[in-house]
Amino acid sequence: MISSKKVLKIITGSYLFLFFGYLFLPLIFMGIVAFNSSSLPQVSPWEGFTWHWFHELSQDSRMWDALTNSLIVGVSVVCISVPIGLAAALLLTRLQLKSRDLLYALFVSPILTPGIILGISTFLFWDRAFAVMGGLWTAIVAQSTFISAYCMLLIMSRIQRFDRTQEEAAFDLGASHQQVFFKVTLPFLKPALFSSVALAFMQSFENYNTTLFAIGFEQTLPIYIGTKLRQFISPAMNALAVIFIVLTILGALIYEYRRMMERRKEAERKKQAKALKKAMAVQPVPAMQGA
Amino acid sequence: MRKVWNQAKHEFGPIGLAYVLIAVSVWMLVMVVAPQLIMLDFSLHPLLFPDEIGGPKDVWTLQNYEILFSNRLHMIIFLKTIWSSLLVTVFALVICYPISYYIAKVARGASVGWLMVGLIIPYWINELLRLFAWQIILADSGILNQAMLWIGIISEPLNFRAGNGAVILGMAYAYVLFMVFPLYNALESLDRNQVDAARDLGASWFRIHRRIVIPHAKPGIAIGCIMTFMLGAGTIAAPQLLGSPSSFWFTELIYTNFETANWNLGAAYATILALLCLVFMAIMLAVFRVSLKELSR
Amino acid sequence: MGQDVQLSNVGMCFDEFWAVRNVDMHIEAGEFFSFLGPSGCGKTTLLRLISGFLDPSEGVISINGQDMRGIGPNKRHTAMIFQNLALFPLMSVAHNIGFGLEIKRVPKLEREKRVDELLELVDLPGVGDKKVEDLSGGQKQRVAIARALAVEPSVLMLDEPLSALDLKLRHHMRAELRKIQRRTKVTFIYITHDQGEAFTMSDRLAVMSDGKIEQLGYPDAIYNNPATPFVASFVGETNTFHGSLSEIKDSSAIIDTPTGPLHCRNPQNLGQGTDSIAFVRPETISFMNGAQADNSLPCTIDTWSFEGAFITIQLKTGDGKPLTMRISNRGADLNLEPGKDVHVAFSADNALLLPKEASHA
Repeated sequence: MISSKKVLKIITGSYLFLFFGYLFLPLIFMGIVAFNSSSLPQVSPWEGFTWHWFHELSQDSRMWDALTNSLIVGVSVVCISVPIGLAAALLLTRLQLKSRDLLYALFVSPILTPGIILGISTFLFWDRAFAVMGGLWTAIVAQSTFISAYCMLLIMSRIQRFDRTQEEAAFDLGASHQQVFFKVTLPFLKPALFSSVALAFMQSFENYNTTLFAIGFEQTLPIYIGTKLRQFISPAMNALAVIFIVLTILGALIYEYRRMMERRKEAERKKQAKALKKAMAVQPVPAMQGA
Repeated sequence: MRKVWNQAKHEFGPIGLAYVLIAVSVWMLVMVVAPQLIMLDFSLHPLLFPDEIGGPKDVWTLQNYEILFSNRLHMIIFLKTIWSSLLVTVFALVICYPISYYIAKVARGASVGWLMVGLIIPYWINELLRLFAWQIILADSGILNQAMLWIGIISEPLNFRAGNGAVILGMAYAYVLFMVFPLYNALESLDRNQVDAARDLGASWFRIHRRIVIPHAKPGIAIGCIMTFMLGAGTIAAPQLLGSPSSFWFTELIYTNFETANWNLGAAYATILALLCLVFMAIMLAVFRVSLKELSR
Repeated sequence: MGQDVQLSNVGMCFDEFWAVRNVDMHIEAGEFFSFLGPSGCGKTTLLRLISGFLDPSEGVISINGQDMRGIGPNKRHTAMIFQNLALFPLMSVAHNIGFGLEIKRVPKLEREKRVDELLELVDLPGVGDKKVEDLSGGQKQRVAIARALAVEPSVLMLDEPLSALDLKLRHHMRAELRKIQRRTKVTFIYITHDQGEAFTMSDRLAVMSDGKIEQLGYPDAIYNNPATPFVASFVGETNTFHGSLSEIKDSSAIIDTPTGPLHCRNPQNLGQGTDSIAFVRPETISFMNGAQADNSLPCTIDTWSFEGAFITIQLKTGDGKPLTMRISNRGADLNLEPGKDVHVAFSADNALLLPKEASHA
């Protein structure tokens, strides 16, 4: 019995080791290359530590242009996708529609469509309908088609936990539709809206497949990286990868840390509330007995 | 219809209703449906010179679609795309199922948080960079060749990127994590007591998973497979970065058509790709008897 | 100050289902009025109609003489206390209470003063800065009341607000609500399925069933003189005897039941041959003490239970029909034994005769 448990533990342990090794080793190799003086992107032979590739990267004006474009596109996508996602989430959760399931399927369909299709169709549509050539604008629109759906899903999952009578109460106390929305509903949705903003920006910032077909001759950072990687590979790209990875790790750690703090705060408050209720129970309802 | 309208007015107020309707209809009509229709329209027209457009040659035709079936090379590429996407999907399911189960039901306390961070970090890293990592591993002077040379398995560096293997390896690596999160979400809602009860009754490890865990994870399996297949079939980054000039992929075929300004053929192939994903999704949903609603969990 | 509410032939139809129909009644200004009925009887719908969340399919609701058609809940001088209270969890207690005033653009200083007064009124001084979720059930209750009163409504509606509280707190809050109502003189409209609540707090009440008002009146009148079989059986406990009216004698009537002929009160002057039901409350039945009685029945004791101030005895009549009686405990040994034969009696006045066809049962 004990030995079979041990065997299971060893199997589980080595599986976890292999799984995370599979996930992280390639990234680690890629990172090491960024610091190798060798002008070929390789781990060995190790020709000495250097910051040279980071410096080279920083000298590349096209990289900076691409980064600027990425920021413009990312912010624009956020400005389009979050309001659309919110509207779609409200529509699906608030109305008792017979065609709800159909609408839902339609709304999530951009997520389930290959990214290149969204890029191609947006590119063709704007060319044909408005004679607008592929560029940053078409990239923004193409990305927003599916990023809006992600925002919708995020917001919906929060709305579903909302107690609607709070809105009725506010309405009953004299608030207008807009006041109810801005004073009661929106504050409740705030966490989901923040995560939608973060998600939308990240999705946009990382997007390659959709953007490639929609953007014409402009470049966002992923397009720049893609072009570079297809031509000749310089360890400067590894340097860029290291920056990306470091930022991602920081983001993930902050995200997890905040979640942990939130959970701890919640537990703390619950404990306090319990203590308070206990204290109230010891002296039952003061001043009211004479009523 | 009237009733829905009245309810909507009641629900959102005039300004709110205007916002919801405008936002959703712009999204659906201008950004999703109309572009798809335009793409379909392009695909159903022959490639013409600008002065021929509107002329007698400008007719509806299936000739762009017929090319796929008449061009043997294109057909092979198309089938290869299906085959390798399926392979990647199965691979992802096999290696992600245990980790999802482990995080959702076995691991406890702080280790759950750390394992999640361990999944989120590679998941958040740009797919291009994830593919780039394999470019470095599989390069002629890459770490894999060097390691094998050093061990002595080979005497000459192998060209891993000659065939399709590198692309498939890269795809598997880049999209594997799209399987983890749907699976994890589905498994998390499984009541641990069910598993314990089954174990108490003497059910074997295999039986517990077949009878209890997997049926519960069905929605996650379906959604995960749909996502992974769609990303695999639709990726252009993987073949661009890891493919060789001799190995062409369906997405690259589409891209080349746009580069050479044959938008009509490109649109037709893009439509075929979209249909392929749609068919795969329909099959998965039917086989696992789940609805798309599971996506929102 | 409270305002009166007039309902004229109000009906509400959802998808061909009439949740409320033909409600024609008047609630006085400053009154504590309750709607009592089982769940699904339409009382919540009625409340939502009065507060404006629903528009009646037919009829008119007026408050203070003003037709309320087309006026939303945010424009009515009504406030509602929801069953789940619907406090705003992200706001502090003070912010919750001051919400309505904030909407009305009351200046901050005045608002704070008003909130403090209200906290005083509901006996919760000093909790303004607390989070809502840190309060106990009874405290939340009182915050909800204060929040509703803050907008100085003319009519306050309460949708079973006490149902989530434990028994002791519930009793306490009844007195509290009544006290607040007297102090503020606001018209209270209270809905509940708990007759204890309705009877102890209300000036008047209406018993509802199936979307209709069965009876409207003072609590004692409803208890003692139920107008319909539904009210008679829903309000309090009762024994029923089905039968046909055979004879009319001045103010009383005799019906033939399987148990035997019974002398009954006939307030609705039912005619001979009417299918009717006689309702007899358990506490009006007593053991025969030799004196002449209008109705006397030979019974067997089935079981009995001691409840402190009362003893409830389950009997079986000669034809096997179960009968419940309740007597007050005077300390004497009653020598109750299951299987013992006894004679019980009740007066014709305490046997209320109502027509059978009106029954919803």
